[in-house]
Amino acid sequence: MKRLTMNQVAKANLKHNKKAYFSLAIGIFLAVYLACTAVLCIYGTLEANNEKAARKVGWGDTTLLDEPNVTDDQLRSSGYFDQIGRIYVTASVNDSEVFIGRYDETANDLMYRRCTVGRLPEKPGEIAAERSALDKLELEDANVGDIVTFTLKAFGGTPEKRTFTLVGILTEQTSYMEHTWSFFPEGTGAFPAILTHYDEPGCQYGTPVVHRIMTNRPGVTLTEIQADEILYQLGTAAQISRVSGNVMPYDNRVNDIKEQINQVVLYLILGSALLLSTCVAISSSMESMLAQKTEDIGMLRAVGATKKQIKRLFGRDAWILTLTALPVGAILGCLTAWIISCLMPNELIFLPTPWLLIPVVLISFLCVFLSSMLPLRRASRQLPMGILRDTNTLRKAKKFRNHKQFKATQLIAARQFYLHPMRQTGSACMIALMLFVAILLGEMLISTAASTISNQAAFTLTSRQDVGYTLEPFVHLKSPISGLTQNDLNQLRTLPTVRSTGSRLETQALLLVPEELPSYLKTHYIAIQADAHNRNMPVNPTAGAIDTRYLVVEKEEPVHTFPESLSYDSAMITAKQMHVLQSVLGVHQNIMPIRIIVATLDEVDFSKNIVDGEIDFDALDSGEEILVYAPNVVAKPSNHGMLETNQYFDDEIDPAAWDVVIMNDYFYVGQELNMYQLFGEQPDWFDTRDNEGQLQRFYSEMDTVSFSPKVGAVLKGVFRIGNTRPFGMYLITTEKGAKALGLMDNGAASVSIYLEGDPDIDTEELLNDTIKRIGLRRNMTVVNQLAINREDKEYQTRILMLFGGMVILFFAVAVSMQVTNASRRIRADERMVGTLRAVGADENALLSCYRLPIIISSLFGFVLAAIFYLLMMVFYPIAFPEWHIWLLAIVLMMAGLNALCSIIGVRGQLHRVVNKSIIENIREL
Amino acid sequence: MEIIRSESLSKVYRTGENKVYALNNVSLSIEQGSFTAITGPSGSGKSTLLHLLSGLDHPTDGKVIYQDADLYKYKDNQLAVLRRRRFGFVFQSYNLVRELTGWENILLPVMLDNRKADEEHLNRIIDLLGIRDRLSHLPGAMSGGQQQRISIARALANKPAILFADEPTGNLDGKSGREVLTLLRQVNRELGITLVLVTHDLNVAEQADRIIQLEDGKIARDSGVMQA
Ligand SMILES: Nc1ncnc2c1ncn2[C@@H]1O[C@H](COP(=O)(O)OP(=O)(O)OP(=O)(O)O)[C@@H](O)[C@H]1O
Ligand SMILES: [Mg+2]
Repeated sequence: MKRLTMNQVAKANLKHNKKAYFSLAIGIFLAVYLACTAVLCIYGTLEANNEKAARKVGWGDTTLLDEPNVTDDQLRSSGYFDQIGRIYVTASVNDSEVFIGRYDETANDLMYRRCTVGRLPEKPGEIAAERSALDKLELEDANVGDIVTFTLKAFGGTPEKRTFTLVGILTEQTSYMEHTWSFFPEGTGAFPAILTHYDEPGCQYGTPVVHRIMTNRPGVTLTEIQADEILYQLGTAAQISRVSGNVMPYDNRVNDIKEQINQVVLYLILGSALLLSTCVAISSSMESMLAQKTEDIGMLRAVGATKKQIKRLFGRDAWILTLTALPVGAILGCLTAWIISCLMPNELIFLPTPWLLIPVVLISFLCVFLSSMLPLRRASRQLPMGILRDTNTLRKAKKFRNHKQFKATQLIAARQFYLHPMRQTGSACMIALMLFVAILLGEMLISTAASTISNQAAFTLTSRQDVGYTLEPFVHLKSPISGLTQNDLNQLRTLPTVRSTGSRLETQALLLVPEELPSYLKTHYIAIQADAHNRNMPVNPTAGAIDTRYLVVEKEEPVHTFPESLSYDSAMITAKQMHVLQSVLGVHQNIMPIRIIVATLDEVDFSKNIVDGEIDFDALDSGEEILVYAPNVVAKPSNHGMLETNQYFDDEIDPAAWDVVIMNDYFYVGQELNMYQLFGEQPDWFDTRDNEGQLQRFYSEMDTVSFSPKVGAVLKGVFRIGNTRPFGMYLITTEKGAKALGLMDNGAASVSIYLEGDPDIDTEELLNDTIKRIGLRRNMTVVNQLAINREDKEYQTRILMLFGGMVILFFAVAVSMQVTNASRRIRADERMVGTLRAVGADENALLSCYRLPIIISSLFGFVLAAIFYLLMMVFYPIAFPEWHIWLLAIVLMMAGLNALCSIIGVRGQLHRVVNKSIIENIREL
Repeated sequence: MEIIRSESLSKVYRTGENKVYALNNVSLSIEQGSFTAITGPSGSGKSTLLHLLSGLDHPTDGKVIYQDADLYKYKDNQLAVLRRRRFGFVFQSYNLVRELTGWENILLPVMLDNRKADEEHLNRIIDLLGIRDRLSHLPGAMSGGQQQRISIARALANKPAILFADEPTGNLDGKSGREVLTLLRQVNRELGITLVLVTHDLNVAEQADRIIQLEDGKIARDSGVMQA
């Protein structure tokens, strides 16, 4: 005789109870589908970011800058690296900061250079260049196919002319690769922004700089490489992060991992929430399926089936369903991921790799296992006869009291809910999820609305180098490339649709201070433990920008305040410089450099920062008055062997929490500030600060102005001017004020351009072109906020649509879950329905039996969502800064609507049952 | 005085090509306050007749006239009101609500009617049926006989005009059966509740005012008609 296996029984079960299995099948299918979508989205996002970063920094893991003493063989034998590529920086071009160079074959692969237009060079005489490099060479109009002639100068060589054909425009990469080594001398840290073919002959004189790019053996980290004895000297080894698209001279993997989690957090949260709720759905449909089979199970146990056999028998259904759902779920999951990748091509690439099936299968099976375990265990544990008599129900029933008065149908509903709570949890979780996504959507809409309201500059220009910074303590040196001049600003202002421009520049003047130095201006010291050295870090109200130690150096003991002889010596020299300057200017007071911000103040809001006086624009414009930003500076050592500083209002300072507290006791409203400014180019003959004769001549030759404005107002706290936040003490005046005072400067370091409304496409293009051109002239970075906003908006719209779609989908799923849940129960309870009808219940009364669980689960879902919301606000306050009651009200209404839809669905189901005669209802079982 | 009557009542079940006449053209009239017993072999249509008289089923043909109106012309909700106020029904298979205790099951028709229970009346019935110690149990925890008694109490809770009972003593031992029957007779006499009862037990039928015997869905013998 053929043996009947459990598998066959399970299969037969499946065939005979198609309807009952349907919801279980849906649950399992959803689990597979969601697991697949989530895994693909997470992997696709990480890969998309990887790819995006690779376009900036290539596929290498480590770079090594210009280390001729270390050979490739040494690197190879160290065991850390797999591939080693060479990047030859041949020469500088046209005496600028743009370099030309070539890659060997490995570097060619690893650097992952791509062209936006044209192609990479394929033979000597051809070049491909980054657009920004061409801009810097004032070849803005160069196109693919053009012939260009460059003057090349190799390191240590002499200039030579060479002619190339431009065959391609490279994607921007050099600025990302160079980032960390801007301090390297004379371009030896530079990367080629113009690429030749590998066979291009080098320069006749001079030698190329050779950087190397390596891939690490699996598991090798920068820390290990840097700790290696032989490679110890490789100070210039750096890590290429394909998470942030940056090059770092230190191991930054922890941050990378955090960043990666951040990138996929949306999918992680959504995926796990969805999976969790499908688990609950599987669990509850399993539960109610088993409940329908209570008698079968009882019978099976009565004829001697063991617990294990029962678990297997009914669990096997779930496994068979999982196996069936796998291919379909996986295919649909791929389809969804593909659709998402089409919606957000930059954020996610679609990469269905076979090995991804492993996590998908694992997650699916885990979900099914976990969610079927509980109901199965409960079912298999019941006693053979007890199952027929519903022991579980009876055990719980001990608590029942007999009331004199009750609403019959509601009591039944409540009792059912109480006796079988699991049956309703699935839909409650689905509702909670739907509502939570709705809350997220609402929050996103709010933040989108908020971000569009704020008044943003349409374009900003920022200097690449600090034109306000000067190496000379007492002379504001003229910088070789100036910032935006008055002419440039006027040109910007007359562009179409420009409403206003906010410019900002920094310059430096000299303030005469009393010989007895006010305590506010003094330098304090904080001992800091850093790499086994104990260092004294100076702190003063300029936040360290100006070293005021020279003002006291001659009076103080070197040992106390000058633990490092170097800074003592330089302070002594600076003091000597000051004495020379005093005689040149004919003053006897101490002279202290002071920074001045010249800015358009119309768009600046520092009304909260005025602690004394008021802002009188007329007085500022006429040069009569000037503003003093004199922050209270506090400082203490930070955890990382650095200084932690901040600038607070008086009442915000907790003196016990800080090592140094510097509070303004010097500047006051009405105070006359006697100032000078020395401005000009550093003469060629000036080669030492230690020579009084040279200093005397240097200072006398500078353009000199003097002015004595009064303090109009004193500011404290933190505020913004343009896109910067002043840190440390400053004087502040307007452009007109600066002109009235006769202040000299190196031009504006940053300009924000505000427009009148949104320009049309042609105007924007014109604006963009002109502003870019002006910016390039002054070596400035131009940000087109309009374009960024547009991209942001498109992105936001896509995300909002995604979330909106999800809300609708979840709404439908929640309603259908509620309705199928209730109608399954109505079908199972048909006999009870008949009984109730026989004793005189009308359709309304019957409906209220099924209405209550729906309302309860909707409410429960709402409460869950509200708790989620609250938790997010506590643990993620950046994204959820405020508690929006009305959002909750809307969400409550959605829960109500959900309940209403479900009730209407259930009413239809109930109607079908009630249309039959009572006897039919009762006989059904 | 007549309280309810049927006019050529038929119930036909169709199974494929076959037609089964569960009830075939039955006309009868029941007097108010009377005690009628319906007997007959198994499958003769006793239950079917009782269901049709009490408005639980739909006849294939014919009418049931209660208070000068056809029961089956009523709207659903009106019929529901009628069932909970005027009729009581004791099922052959009890049909208690599993989730409710004995007490709650008994009170069900009263509570569906949003009325206050007549506790004196209920206490009397409960004591007579001897189910006081079962009141706070769920049906699952009761024996068949106890469930049957609960269902009798439920049918009587609203002091109905007519009590239909489908073998109410079928699951009781001889003594309990007699006691229940005594109770039914008592409510029949004292409260004037008309009693229509299906039974196999000839001893029970003996006590009735009138015995109707069914065979193959037709009235084979009717003592009331004979007497008249
Ligand atoms: N739903 C149905 N479908 C088909 N035939 C049915 C159905 N319900 C009842 N019948 C048939 O109708 C006839 C009458 O049934 P009924 O239940 O009225 O018998 P009864 O006299 O109450 O029997 P018993 O003494 O066994 O309770 C029977 O032959 C039965 O098989
Ligand atoms: Mg019967």
